[in-house]
Amino acid sequence: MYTYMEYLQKCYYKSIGWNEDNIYSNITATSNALLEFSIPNGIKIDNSNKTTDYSASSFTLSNQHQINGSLAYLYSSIPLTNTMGTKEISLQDAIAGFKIIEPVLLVNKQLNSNLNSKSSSLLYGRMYFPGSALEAMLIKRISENTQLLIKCISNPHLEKNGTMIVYLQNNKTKYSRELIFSTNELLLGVRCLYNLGSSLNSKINPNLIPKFDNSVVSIGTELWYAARTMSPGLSTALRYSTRSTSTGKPLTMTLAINPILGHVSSTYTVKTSVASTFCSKYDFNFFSYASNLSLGFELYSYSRKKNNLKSFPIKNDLPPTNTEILNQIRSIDNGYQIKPDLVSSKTLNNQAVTTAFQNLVNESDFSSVLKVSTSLNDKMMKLLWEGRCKDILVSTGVKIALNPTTNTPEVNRLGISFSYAC
Amino acid sequence: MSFNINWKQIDDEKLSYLCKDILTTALNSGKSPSILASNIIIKDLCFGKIAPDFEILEIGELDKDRFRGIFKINYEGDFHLTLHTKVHANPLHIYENNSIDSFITPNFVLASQEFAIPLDLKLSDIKISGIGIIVFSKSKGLTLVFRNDPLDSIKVSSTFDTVQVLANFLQKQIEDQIRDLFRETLPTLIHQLSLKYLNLDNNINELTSRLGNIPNTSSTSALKLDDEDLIYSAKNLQQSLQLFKSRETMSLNIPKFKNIIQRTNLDKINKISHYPNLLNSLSSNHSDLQKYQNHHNNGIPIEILIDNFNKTDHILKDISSIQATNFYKHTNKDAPVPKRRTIKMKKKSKPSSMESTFVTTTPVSEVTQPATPATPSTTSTKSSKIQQPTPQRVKPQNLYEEFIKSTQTPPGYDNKVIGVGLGNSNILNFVPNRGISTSPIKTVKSQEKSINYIDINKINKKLNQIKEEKKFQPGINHQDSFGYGGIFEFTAPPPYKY
Repeated sequence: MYTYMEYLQKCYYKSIGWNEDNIYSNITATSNALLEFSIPNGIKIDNSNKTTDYSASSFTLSNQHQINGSLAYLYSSIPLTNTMGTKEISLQDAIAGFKIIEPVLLVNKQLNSNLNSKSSSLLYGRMYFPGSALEAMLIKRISENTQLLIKCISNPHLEKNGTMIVYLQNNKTKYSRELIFSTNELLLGVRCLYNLGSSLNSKINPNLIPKFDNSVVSIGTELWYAARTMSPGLSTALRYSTRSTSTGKPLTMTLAINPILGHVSSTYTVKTSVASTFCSKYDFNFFSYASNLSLGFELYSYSRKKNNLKSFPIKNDLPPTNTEILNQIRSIDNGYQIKPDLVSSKTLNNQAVTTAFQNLVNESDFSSVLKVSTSLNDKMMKLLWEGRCKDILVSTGVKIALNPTTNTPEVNRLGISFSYAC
Repeated sequence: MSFNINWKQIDDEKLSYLCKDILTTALNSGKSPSILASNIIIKDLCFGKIAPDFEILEIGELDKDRFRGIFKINYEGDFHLTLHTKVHANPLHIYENNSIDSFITPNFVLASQEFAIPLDLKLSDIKISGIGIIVFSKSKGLTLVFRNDPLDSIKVSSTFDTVQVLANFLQKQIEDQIRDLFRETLPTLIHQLSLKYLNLDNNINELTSRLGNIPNTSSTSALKLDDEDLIYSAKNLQQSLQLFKSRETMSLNIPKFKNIIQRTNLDKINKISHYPNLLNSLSSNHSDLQKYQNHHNNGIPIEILIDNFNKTDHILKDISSIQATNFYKHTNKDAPVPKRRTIKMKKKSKPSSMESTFVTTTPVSEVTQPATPATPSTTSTKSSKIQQPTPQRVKPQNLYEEFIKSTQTPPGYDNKVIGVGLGNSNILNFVPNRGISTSPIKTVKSQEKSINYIDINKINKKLNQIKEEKKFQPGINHQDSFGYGGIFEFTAPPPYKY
């Protein structure tokens, strides 16, 4: 579950047209969301409020180390008008799930021209108590496709009282590049990601691309070097994201390799129905012959109350007003306008099938989701239930592992977290 | 002053297990460093066969509660220790684990994957030679300081030996750590351990000083203990101390305990094994003689010779050699060379049987040592009634003559040998110049009397005879059939009534 501040950051990215899926660290985001979700530890209460379109504040309390909490503030230079409180937010936005990889060539251009997002920035700060730990973040857009992201923390427990990390990111539709520097052990990193696929070819009129040919292959690599300890790191990854043409159900396959350690990791994620997703991951090490198989799935459940079904807006020719486009920001498909007379009805059918599924997913009113993840080598199972109770988003989970010495299952983590935002 | 260290005792399985347990818990306690991926286990621990050389070179101060000295320790043995653990080979994984907040760690995609390599580390060929100072005081504990760096060399080998850089790194690190151990950690540890052990001691000392010079044990009941750590009752301790002290001295004042009947430690005296005697020495050579352990006296039971008469010569030779070595060990060179007393046994009217040949080779002593009341272990078939002798005061004259006259070889000794013991045998025993004491001497005539019976008349007659024959001179007269070193006058030995 995203905290409210993370959710606002995502809204900001969407508002300025920044495609997060194009960043190399998110190349395995789908399988991570299904397998590596985190279980809350103890009791945590998160209370947030968006005071204006430009600012928000948040207050959290948790029972780690007796009691501790934090207070956070956020300021954005562009209005974040598409955010929802926990009462109305759809679970698909609030909870990390299957990420549909979409080329956003057109959306980018349209949105950018409309918004004065040339020099937008986001400021964020959080203060922890007790103790005097602080964290802060600055996202500054330098040019159309370039942004600077600076994160720093100040903590008297650290050796130099704080650390700062700087990302210089260049994000275009076809590729993205990043340069990272951290003061902790003087870490230097370079990351890049390339997208391959016919739908990304800017020379072809995107309106003529048939909708069924929407598979995207992304290849990326990262190179790290920690100067103080002289430790290197390297990995490459490949992601293939596509949609089934008959049913419209999306699937994503990734393959990641670390050549220095000889480690290979491959994942396969598929959305089997509107409300369920399955994922499997296989790790193998060429030097130590160690292998691991992880399985995970998530199941959504519908809410009891009657939801007003929205009609598929494919045939609707919505005027591209500011508010309309911003309101439809959840389902990117809806922002994609096709004039019916340009395409044949055949393609329209296919189009209908492939997008219908996605629309159905986006429009469904879920009330809760159950996530389960297992790891065979670690002999561990994680259970997480997230849902909405009244107006509050609740997330509770447990992590059960098999104790290697006594061979009995034991609970490693157990917790519950409440989140309210308005 | 050097010490002999009994290193073989350490090579005990139980001690080895205990050491391994303690070391494993100690190594895995506390926060493990981030480079280790699993616990440290001890694969092998062997103390070796060679003991260290420990020597005290000089003693500066030696007192009841203080000691100061210079010592030297050398070790060049084959002690070795093997540890097994797993190390993280991916430094970025360690980076990710160490970073305090996930907010500022970049999301590594597989670059920070965990990769653990097993590592075996073996320490061997430790050479230690150090000179240091030991200072001990009861109030401050024990401190031990090395004057030089005691570690000469140590060999570190691991699974990373093929990687020269890592091997050198490990060698240097471990050498440094062990040098630190000897110079800093070891003195501190020993000091703390000594303080811990002395704490208990201090409590008891404090207690006795508080009790003062109370001779009576009964007055300690009013004592109140301030120190709650003391687990023993002060009163009982004081009483035990008194009892212990009284046994060490000849004091007749024995502290009394309620509801307890006290006996002195008899087994100290009675237990054969505590005092060396002839039977024990014999049985060390002839293991089958152990069944003759006689707890009641120091004599050798006659069954040794009767039952094993095919080994008689052997046994007799052993007895003779044991007694000879014993004598020569305890006398100085100027002492006169003693001679074996020979007793010729005359068989008179008794038919000599097969046993008599055995008997003639075995002399019988008519004189026993005063300290050993020889209880005859055979029963004479001829003597049916045994009268217990009773002591009687006798006139001092002519006693000796009567004694000599009256003594003859009692017939009872013809066929049977009563006892062969330290004081019993004349050929094998050298009785130093001692007086005549009670002895199981029997007169020929009276068969009903006990073998402890002495016919004083005969003795006196004989004495008088000898007195008349020659002048009594204090000197050595070897012709005497009794083999005395000298015939001397003495006043009455307590005779027995007859």
